[in-house]
Amino acid sequence: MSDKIWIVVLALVALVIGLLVLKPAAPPTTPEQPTPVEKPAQPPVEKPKEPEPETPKPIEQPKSPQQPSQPLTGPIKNPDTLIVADLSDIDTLDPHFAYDTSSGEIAFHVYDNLIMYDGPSTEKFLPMLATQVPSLDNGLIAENADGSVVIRFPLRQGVKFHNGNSFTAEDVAYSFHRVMLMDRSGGPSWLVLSPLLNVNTIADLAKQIEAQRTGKKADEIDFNAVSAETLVATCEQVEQAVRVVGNDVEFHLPKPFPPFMAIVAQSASWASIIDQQWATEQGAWDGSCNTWKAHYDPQKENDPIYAKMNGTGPFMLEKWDHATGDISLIRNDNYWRGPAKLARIVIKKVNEFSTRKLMLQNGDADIATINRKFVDQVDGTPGVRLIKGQLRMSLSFILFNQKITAEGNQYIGSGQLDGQGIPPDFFSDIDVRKGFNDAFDWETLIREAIKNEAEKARGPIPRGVQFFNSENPVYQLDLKKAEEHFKQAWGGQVWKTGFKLTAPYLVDDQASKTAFEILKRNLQRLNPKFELETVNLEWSALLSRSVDGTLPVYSAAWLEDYHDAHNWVFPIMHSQGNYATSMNLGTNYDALINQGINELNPEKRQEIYYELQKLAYEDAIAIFTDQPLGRHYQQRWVDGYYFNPIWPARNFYPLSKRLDAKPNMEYVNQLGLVVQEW
Amino acid sequence: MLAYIARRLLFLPIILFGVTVILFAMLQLLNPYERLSLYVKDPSQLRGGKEQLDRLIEKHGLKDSLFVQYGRWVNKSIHLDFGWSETAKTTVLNGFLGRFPATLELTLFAIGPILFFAIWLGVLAAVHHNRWIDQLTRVITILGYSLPSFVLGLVLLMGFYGLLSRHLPPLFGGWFSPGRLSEWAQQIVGGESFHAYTRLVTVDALLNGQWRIFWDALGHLVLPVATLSYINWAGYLRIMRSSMLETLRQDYVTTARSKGVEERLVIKRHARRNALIPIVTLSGFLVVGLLSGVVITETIFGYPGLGSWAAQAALQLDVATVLGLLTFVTILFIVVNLIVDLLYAVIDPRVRLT
Amino acid sequence: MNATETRPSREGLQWALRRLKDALLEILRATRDTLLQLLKNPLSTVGLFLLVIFATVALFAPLLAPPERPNAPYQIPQREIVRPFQAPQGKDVYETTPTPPSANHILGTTQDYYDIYYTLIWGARNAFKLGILIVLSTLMIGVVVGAVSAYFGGWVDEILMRIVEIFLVFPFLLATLVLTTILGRGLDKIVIAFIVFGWPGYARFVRGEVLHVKENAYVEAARAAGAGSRRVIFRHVLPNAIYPVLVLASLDIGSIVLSASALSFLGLIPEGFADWGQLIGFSRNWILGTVQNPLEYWYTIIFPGLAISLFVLGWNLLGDAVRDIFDPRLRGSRSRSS
Repeated sequence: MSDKIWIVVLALVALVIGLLVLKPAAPPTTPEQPTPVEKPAQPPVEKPKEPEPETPKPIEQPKSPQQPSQPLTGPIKNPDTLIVADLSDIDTLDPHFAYDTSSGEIAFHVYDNLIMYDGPSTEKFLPMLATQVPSLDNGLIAENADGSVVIRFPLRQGVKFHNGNSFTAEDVAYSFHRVMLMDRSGGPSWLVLSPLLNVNTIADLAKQIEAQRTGKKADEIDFNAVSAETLVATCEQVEQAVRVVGNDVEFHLPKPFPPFMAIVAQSASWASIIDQQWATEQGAWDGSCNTWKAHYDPQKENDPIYAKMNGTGPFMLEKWDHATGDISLIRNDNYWRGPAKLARIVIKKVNEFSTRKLMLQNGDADIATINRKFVDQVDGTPGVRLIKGQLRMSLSFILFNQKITAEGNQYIGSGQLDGQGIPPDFFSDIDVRKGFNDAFDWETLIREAIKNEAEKARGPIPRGVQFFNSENPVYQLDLKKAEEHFKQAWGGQVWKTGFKLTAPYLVDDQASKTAFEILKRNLQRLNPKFELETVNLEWSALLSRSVDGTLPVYSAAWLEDYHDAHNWVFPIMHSQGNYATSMNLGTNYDALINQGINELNPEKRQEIYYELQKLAYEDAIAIFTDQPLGRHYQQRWVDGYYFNPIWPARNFYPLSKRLDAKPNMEYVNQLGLVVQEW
Repeated sequence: MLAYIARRLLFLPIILFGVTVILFAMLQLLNPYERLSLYVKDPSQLRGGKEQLDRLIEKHGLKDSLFVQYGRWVNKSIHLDFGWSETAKTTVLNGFLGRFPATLELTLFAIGPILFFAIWLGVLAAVHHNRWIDQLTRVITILGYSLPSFVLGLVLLMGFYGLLSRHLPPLFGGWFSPGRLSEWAQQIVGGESFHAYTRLVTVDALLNGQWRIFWDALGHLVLPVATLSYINWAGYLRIMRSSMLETLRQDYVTTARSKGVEERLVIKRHARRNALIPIVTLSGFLVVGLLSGVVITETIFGYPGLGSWAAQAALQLDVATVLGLLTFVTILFIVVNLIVDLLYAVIDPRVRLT
Repeated sequence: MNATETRPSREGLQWALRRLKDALLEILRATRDTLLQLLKNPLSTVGLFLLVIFATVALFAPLLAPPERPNAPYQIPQREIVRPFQAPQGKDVYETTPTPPSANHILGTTQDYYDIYYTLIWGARNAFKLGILIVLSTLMIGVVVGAVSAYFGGWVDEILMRIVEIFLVFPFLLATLVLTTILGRGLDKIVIAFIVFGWPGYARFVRGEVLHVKENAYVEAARAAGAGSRRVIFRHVLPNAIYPVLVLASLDIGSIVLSASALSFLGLIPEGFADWGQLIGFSRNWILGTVQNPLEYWYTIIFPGLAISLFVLGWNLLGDAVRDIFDPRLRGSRSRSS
């Protein structure tokens, strides 16, 4: 008996060994194959002298798609339907509730806004549901003597909602009233509330009104206990801010707010125009000042239009499948700009990368989200087109906490400058901050971890945003300088005793991880007593730590809410901004930032924002690491693609599927994008 | 026997209470901001600053005491309202109803091969006790125990989906791919004209006369079913083998043999039937075991069922979902236990329930 | 009855030491017998052989793969050159795509330039550490609860067993998944989660064993002679019940390592920690290779897959035989729990 067992076991072992021996024989033919990667597509980031124009850099590339390959021969899979394999996690379909890009992408296609961006431009607007873009020149923006501003939008006539209802000025007013009065917690309403009513929440407004009526202090009032009259008065103030005047709608701003156009333009889902009659029928707020409190801050599941849509946009909601997360949209044949070319859009939620990749490879997906990490597996797939070099409106930076919460803090070691930790105010010494900056290696980060698909950041404002200063000074890897700074820091004590701190980053956040590793190794090289540990944190833990202020350094990336320099300097530098608050940056820059947002004159604004960028450098408030460049993978049969960094994601309206398909080359060239196809 | 059933059912709420309390107690290890992460999913949503976060905490009652939160949950779940699932973007109940058929289908398909191979090989091994076939099944069994499902699943994916599927004839298009259905099939199944009788896609496809969809669904099931069955059948094979060995030693088998009944018939008629008793009863546990076994398998194959949902919910700390699923598993576990006990009593008169 | 239990401490110590010595000798003798018997069976010899190899690797990990920083050996190096018997050298590399086996990385690197060879070596040490740690600590709790429950019986037994039942109802993977996520990912957190949800199985098993032993005549005799309950438990019942429990529990190391790696496969371990499950988790994104070669990244899954499978196989081969020799009653009993 036992002999046979041995034979079986030996056979198995032999099989395994055989597999092992045979396998390696195959690969060597392939790994050497040139994976089509970077020619000097991106200009070397480290050349500071290179003139960088305000508009995207001209990247030296042939005008036509490179590597001209065989013409496509049919058949096109699903010729009328565009299938997108995405990671999307749609939060809600109510555009006034939504505050994330996945939900924003759906609202973008189903609802219209008053105005929209002109093609790939981030600064020029076109009218949408309005017939003109208001400006001082055409008289639709008027400044009153008391400093208040009135902005008037004449509206398009004859537009119909998907259910056949007519679009009216009342719908516009209703939509803006709704987003302000609903004010869901953690939602986008403050973006509309702050320029129009100068408050961050509707509850604050109600408290102010109640305080005036009763003489109590505003912060002692419980919003849930305010009187019915106050509620009505609050609502009336909201109604005063956005008024219907004939066929037009007027917005009344208490003081100038330059980015207002960006706040109402397309891709701002909170400024989507919905149908009042339909919404009321669904059980949403009916527009009356007596009932709004019942619809204030709803639970997501109790929002009547959580999973329903009725807009004026080019696509209509067909189905949102909760089991799979897939969503499908169908064409609105009566769209006022003319019907879209595609009959149907399906956005499939595919979490597994391998599956997305295979869907693209087999033509089952027309567009697929590919993580940067895995691009080598996808480049070279026959029938696929890659459009890369898309500048994202996103910026990564490592902030220093200047007043760390010491209590219960596991990241600062002993909490003293004794070589075993750092004191809570360690980063309040400018030489420490400068030393960290000088010890950082941007080139390695961008070349190795980001595969050259990012630009070195130049400060708190990214390229592509007005008032970005392309000449703003930046730090560079310079260990000598770093040494000098560290020798001066804390009266020389830092250099003598060394320090130890832990840098937490979000799990799976590749870029932050590498950034910290680089910093860690360079600091160690500088002085063996400089110890930086890295630790990855669950999102839940990181969220909690960023609130309680125990993070000594915080690697973050900001995505803008609306396209304006203010939305960049505020979160990063203003004492009430998200990051600056938790990093205890102080109030040094508040006055300047407030001045910038209340200034209408572009030249004066430029001066202010240039100054802020310079201060960010001089005070070394952070290590500004990089601004990423995006990639877009699609089937070669997808026609008419172009890109605007402000959109939540893609725009399906201009797309179609055909054998002689091309991206929109005019825009692609204008943006300096690189096209590759296989 | 009625008293026995009543007693067992009485334990149900106690155990349910225990299970849910333990889960709630575990959550107390997290502070409200940590629990908030379910509602503020990533840094890009961290917008309005601390003020907005505090509003959210208040809105979702995350600062309330353990008892208040637990009371709220019990109160609702008695009315079958298990709350909102952030991971499924619908109520927990709806999410469950939407995913359960998929998992059930997978499980049902896996039970067949498990029992078939377990019984067939188990009998074979027992009949040829200590001969090479016995030893071979033994080796395969142990290998089955030892191969992690995530290794087996990934290797199968690599071999069949990565390599083989591109060389298959068009008839097998879409075979071995992850998920439950191909895109075209999903559109038909989701469409108006397709009638969902049972929500088990394979069955519904046949009932609708849609052969191509049946074929497609089958192709998607092959790899997950193979993974799930291979990992699970080893144990049942063992039980079958030892049970069969035991019966073969029983008196009546010996008697039958001595009467000159053909060996094949002895095994088929007398021994095997009796040896099946433990298997029949254990297949109840098989369902429970498979349901918890699908967590990894579904995750690997991107199969939209309870398992992948559970993993996602657990990793995102989606409390409502995890609680709902635990409640379901607990009830299932206890009911299956009960049924198995009853079955035992019915099949084997020597067993008495007390 | 309490009065009889209090004995002078010195005498108690001597008594305890004597008991311990006896027990150890007993265990050694039994182990030797078992080993001899095991070596007669080819399957268990293979199992033993595999385990000896893994144990050697684990033991000599610092030699086989010298770490970059001796105080953090489980951190997988991301360096240009990581060769066996040499400390990692060359510059730091952050390459995201796996690279095939080469002179500098004999088994290749997986994503982010983590060296596979290094991870396998230290992963073996990690597996033993994890398995032994978890088994010992769960066993301790299990033995105490089980013994108490069985010995006292009555309402103590009833309550303890209900608690055990509640814990056993939890689907193990889901429960540990939730608890580890709550505690924040990490190996220590996985260990805690496994202990929290692992002890009830042993408690129930020990209870059964103790009940079995308790029926034996000599316990009755000891009782009749007037020995107190604690004394009876520790002096008579446990020693007789514990050896099978100890042996069988130690054989669970294989399946425990398997379950733990399922958690790290799902990503509940710090990135870059030398663990097999994590390595397989990494390979998930690469198994489909490139368009030109679907098997391009085969080494990312095959090597760690083999390592973990062989490790668990070793334990199972051994366990299978041990169970047969040791206690025929237990055959097949494990399948229900797994």
